[in-house]
Amino acid sequence: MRRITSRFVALIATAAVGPLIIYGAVSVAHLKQGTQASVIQGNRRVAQQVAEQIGQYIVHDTRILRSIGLELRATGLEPWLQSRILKDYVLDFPEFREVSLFKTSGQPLATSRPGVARLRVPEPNAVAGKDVYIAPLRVDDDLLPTTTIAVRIRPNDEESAWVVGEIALEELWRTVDRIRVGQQGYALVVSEKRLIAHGNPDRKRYIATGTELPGHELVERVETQNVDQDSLTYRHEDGTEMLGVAARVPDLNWTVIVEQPTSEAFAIASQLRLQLLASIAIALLGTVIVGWFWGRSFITRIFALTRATRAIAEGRMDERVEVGGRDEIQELGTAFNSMADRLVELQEDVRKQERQAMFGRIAAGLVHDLSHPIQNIGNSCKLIQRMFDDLEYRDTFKRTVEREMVIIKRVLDDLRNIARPIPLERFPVEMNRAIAETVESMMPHAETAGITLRTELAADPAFIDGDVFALGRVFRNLILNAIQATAPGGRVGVATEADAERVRIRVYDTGCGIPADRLAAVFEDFVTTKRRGLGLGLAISKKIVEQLGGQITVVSEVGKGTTFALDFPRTRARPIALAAG
Amino acid sequence: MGCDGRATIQPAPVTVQIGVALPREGVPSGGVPAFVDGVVNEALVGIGWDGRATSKIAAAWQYAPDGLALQLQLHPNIKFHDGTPVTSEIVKQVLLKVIGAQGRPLSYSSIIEIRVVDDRVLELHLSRPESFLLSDLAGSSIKHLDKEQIGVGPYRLTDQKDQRDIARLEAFQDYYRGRPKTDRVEVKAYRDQRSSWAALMRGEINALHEVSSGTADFVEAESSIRTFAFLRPYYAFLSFNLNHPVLSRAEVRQALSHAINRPQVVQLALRGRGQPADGPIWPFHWAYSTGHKSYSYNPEAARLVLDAAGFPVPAERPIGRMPSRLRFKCLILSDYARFETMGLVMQKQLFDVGVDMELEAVPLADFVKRVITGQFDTLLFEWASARTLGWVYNAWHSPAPGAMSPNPGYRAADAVLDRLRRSTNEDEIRVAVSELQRVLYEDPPAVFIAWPNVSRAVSTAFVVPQESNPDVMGSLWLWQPVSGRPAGK
Repeated sequence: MRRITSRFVALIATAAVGPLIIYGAVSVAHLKQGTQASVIQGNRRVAQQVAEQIGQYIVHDTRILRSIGLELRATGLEPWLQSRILKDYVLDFPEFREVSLFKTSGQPLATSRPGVARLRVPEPNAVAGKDVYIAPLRVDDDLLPTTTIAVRIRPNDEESAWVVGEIALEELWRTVDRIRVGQQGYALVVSEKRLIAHGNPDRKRYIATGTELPGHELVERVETQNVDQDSLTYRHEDGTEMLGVAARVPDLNWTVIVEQPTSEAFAIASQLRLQLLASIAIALLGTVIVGWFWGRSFITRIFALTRATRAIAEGRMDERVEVGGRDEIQELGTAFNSMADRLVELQEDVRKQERQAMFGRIAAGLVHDLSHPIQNIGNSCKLIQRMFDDLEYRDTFKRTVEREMVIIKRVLDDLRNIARPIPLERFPVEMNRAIAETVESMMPHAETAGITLRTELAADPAFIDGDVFALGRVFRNLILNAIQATAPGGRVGVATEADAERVRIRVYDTGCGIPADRLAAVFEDFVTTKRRGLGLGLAISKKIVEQLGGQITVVSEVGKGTTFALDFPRTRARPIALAAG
Repeated sequence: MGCDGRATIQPAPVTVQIGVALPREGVPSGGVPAFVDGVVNEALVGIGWDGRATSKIAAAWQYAPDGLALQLQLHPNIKFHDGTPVTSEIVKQVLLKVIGAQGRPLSYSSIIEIRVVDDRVLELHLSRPESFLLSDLAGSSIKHLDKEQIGVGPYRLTDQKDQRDIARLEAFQDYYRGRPKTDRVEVKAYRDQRSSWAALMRGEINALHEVSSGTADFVEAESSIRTFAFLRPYYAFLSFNLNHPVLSRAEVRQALSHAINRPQVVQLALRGRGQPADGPIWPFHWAYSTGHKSYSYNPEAARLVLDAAGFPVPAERPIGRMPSRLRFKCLILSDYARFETMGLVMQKQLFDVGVDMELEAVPLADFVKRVITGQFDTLLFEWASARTLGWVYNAWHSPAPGAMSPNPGYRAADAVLDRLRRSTNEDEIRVAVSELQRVLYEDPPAVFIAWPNVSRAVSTAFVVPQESNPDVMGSLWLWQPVSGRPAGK
């Protein structure tokens, strides 16, 4: 049987769980891709901004130098004031170690230094017609990167001059140091494959060791492919997997790399993924729980209806069902209760009718069985009044009254016995002998009816605990019924058989048989197929058999005959022998 | 072999490798030899953070009530590195040698007798009270009489050759304060502080004697390095030559003192690593008085004082130079970035009040010569305080003829400095110091600018104890490696 619970679970699984799982798998996959791409894009923007910032750092310093130069040359300031201004600039812009102004010929005009200028104008072949010259970056034993920027002022003018500034890129370091991506992401700057700045304070030592990065794939790609940006995932020398994003610094041939451990870079993606998985798991669990509770309330009511129906079927007519809710099942429950109430009413009607029918039969049987003897007694009483002096008639009257009173008493006894246990005396009875005696007493009836009456008795004695008189009545009743149901020329027989535990008696005939629809009720009170009698004979026989611990059954086929089977427990007891004499 | 007969593995010796910057050319002291001297030798006493004498070879001491005698009790079981016990007699001989040498400390001139009481007790008898005696004794190392490089310090030289570039030392097992926790010390010289920092980054050394202010924040950011910053007992000052016709006037010097923004100088020239100075007295000295007056940045007051002194801003603008109330030159050392920046900052501040201070950068040799001969208007320099009052006396008392002085012609503080020198108890010293601070304020010989910080850097491979003296180099013998981590080669 496929339970409705299983079907319900299957329904939830199909309608909710399955789609949720599919949705979850697709979402997780897309989320990972999307968030990683977003992180890489974000880091690219950072690298680009850093590159621009660094580029601007140099450009800014170049502009400062240019503006200094223009201010000094254009305003015709006296040398002492020019020096004053240069000194002020050096104080205001800490990255400038020295700023000096020179004529194109190299003659110093003003300097920020207390003494003479240390800087010089660039060599003509190094400048090669350019107005801005940035000397190659120096990272020597001093460790900090330094460069010199020379800006030509008013190149086509006789007032042309050079403003030369020595820039300590400590400020570049500090700028790079301030760049953080998350907690563990840093920026580094590479110039011609040589590390010149590293934002991770624990890795600045690579600058001191003069670490070159020829093997840094990202640097290679940016430089060889001449692209402005690129990204890559690689393993650092300490085994950490890093997400690296590179961006070129405009005009300086430097590369800015923003590195961040992938464990941190994609942490949000991982967190989101976990959150999504958790959400889906919670949704699944919630669906299952809600479905279970809802289904349980749904199915519970069905089970209640089922139990109540079984109870009604088992005869507990007072069983009713309480079904809550406001749906069809509740309506079904209400209908069930109404049906049960109606069944009880119908049952009561049927019983009333049966009682009436039974009383009718009883009345009819009583009338039938008692009217004849009472009529005979009445007639006899009338005659005795006229023939009282007739001694012979007084004798006949006495016998008639006595005879009819016995019949009346028997009918009344039968009525009384059907209502209460029949008083029986139990003692070991040998069935073969009891049956033989009963059959012998019934022979005249059989001969009169033209029927063969015979016995088939077991070879060995078979004792049961019984009342010989009550048993005799049972056998006489069964044999008499068989004789009455059998047409002349037919047969009636009584057979016994016994084993170690049971004694079985069969009373069979070749009579007309009992229709199937009446067979079930053949042992009921006041049920008879005859024209006269109360119909208590088989009922009393069944009662006697059952009181003696046995059982009686009947099989019958219309037109072929009927067999009554009696089954008693065998006893080992034997009757006490009477004293001789 | 261990007691159970099995071979035992001796732990690898611990080596501290310290980088030290070479002294500038012409500077006679500093570098590796100075560092080595500090760990190989010890004096009778040391100078604590508050300027009080601390126990070294002398375990205890006591002045006579009249201040004319100082009794010293030596620690027991002190030995030289060659095992020779250090006795009172030996100490006496060493002191006599120092007393007889040129350039002896000031207070030694009053020592008339050194009396040995017993092997551990000796007495110094004085012709007059000398409150600087203990601080002067702190500057006299007790060395072996016959072997110059044998001392009593926690380490001894393993190689007696020239130590200009590198010196190797090993722990002295019988050091009187206990066996040093580090087995070996290697001191290497580098061109400058930045070069030594680069060596630290490369892993060639695991400690820096001094971290330059320009790189201090980078070093501090390194997680494998711990830095220990403290106020250096040196003060920067702009000294006046009182033989200058204008600078000899106290009100001019007062005005110039008002015109200097000391916190700005600290911020720009020292990158914020230091604190402003209000005089030559160590600000943590036990006798330092906080109730005295000091100069704060007040350019308006400077202008008013200069106006009142007869130095207004001229109405006419001169050709070729800035219009100024007064002009003078300031001598600074060339190629010293810190002094250059300091000079530029102060030049600008004085410019703002109409004073033209022209910076004159000269090499060290010329600098010394000019100072000795008094050929300067002002000079910008740094002077040691050693956390003692004796050094204040040496710097700001008028010198003997022919001696070098940063403030030629200044005598205003002579009387109070002499009184300080002759003090016999702490109360007298406090009163004298307070009076000195007043004199230096009212008649300033210099603009006292700043006390710079100095930082030591040590690899986190070592556990460095934190003592009352924040200079961790003083506790080098107590450094020990973090267990399980290799330290040094």
